[in-house]
Amino acid sequence: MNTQLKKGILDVCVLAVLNHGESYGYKILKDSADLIDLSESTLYPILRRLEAGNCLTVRSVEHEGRLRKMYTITDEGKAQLTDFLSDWSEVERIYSYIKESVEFD
Amino acid sequence: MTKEIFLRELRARLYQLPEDELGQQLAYYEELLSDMIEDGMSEKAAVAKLGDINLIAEEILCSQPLPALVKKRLRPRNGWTAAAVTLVVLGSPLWIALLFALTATVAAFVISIAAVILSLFAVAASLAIGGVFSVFRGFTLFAVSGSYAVFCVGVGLLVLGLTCLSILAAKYSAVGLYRGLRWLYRKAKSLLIVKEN
Repeated sequence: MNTQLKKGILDVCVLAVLNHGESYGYKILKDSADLIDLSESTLYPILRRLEAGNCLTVRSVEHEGRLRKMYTITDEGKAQLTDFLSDWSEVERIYSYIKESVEFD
Repeated sequence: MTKEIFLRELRARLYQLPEDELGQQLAYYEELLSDMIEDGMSEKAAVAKLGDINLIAEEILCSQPLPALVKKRLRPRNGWTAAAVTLVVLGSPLWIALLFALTATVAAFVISIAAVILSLFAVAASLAIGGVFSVFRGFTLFAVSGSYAVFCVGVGLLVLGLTCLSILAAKYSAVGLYRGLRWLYRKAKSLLIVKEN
């Protein structure tokens, strides 16, 4: 996928994964593996950005004698998801336009 | 590479970072590696999956804000020992003068370009005033002298056209200056990042 397009979508993808329930780094990566190409080093800045934007909260949980960071989506995060969906109809129109212009060639 | 070596190498490459930021980055990768190993991956495979450690470190450093990078770049590797402090104080005539000169140069550069852009806007403004004036004067003169009135209006419209061109020139220069400054900012950041082998 084109990098610019991907950049805009990754944040929402992570939020969508979190919308299924509280999760942690490795699980988010595994759950999104089928959806989009998300690398380990890309995920962390996304999580930080989402936290700074109040789209998720973090808490530390003990697991097998070590600390694990659990991420939970907030109402603001859910609002981002619905915004994305409403933006999508606009994207669909642009898609049809581009498809037409390519076929007309 | 084992997990411990990876984390140690990453910490070494990120020594310029502030303590809490460094801690958070390492904690993320440590947690990730532990989860991968718990999921059944071998330590070697897990570390390999993360990719080139140099790229990871570079990405992390580039995403830091510039003031944090400057602060940490200036931090001596072994901390502020008496020797380090002495060196800094003794060398102050040199580095203070150099810092001042560098700041002055950058400021002069930015100010002179901004002055050019400002004068382009001033040109546009005066052209606009002149053009409008000429057009109005032309209209008032129709009763007196038809041909001269047309001339006035014509000149006025020409000048207004030039106004548009000079506004465009000023706008593109301003955008160019902004982009140039942003490039300079990123370049400065990358220069402050020390590349470890």
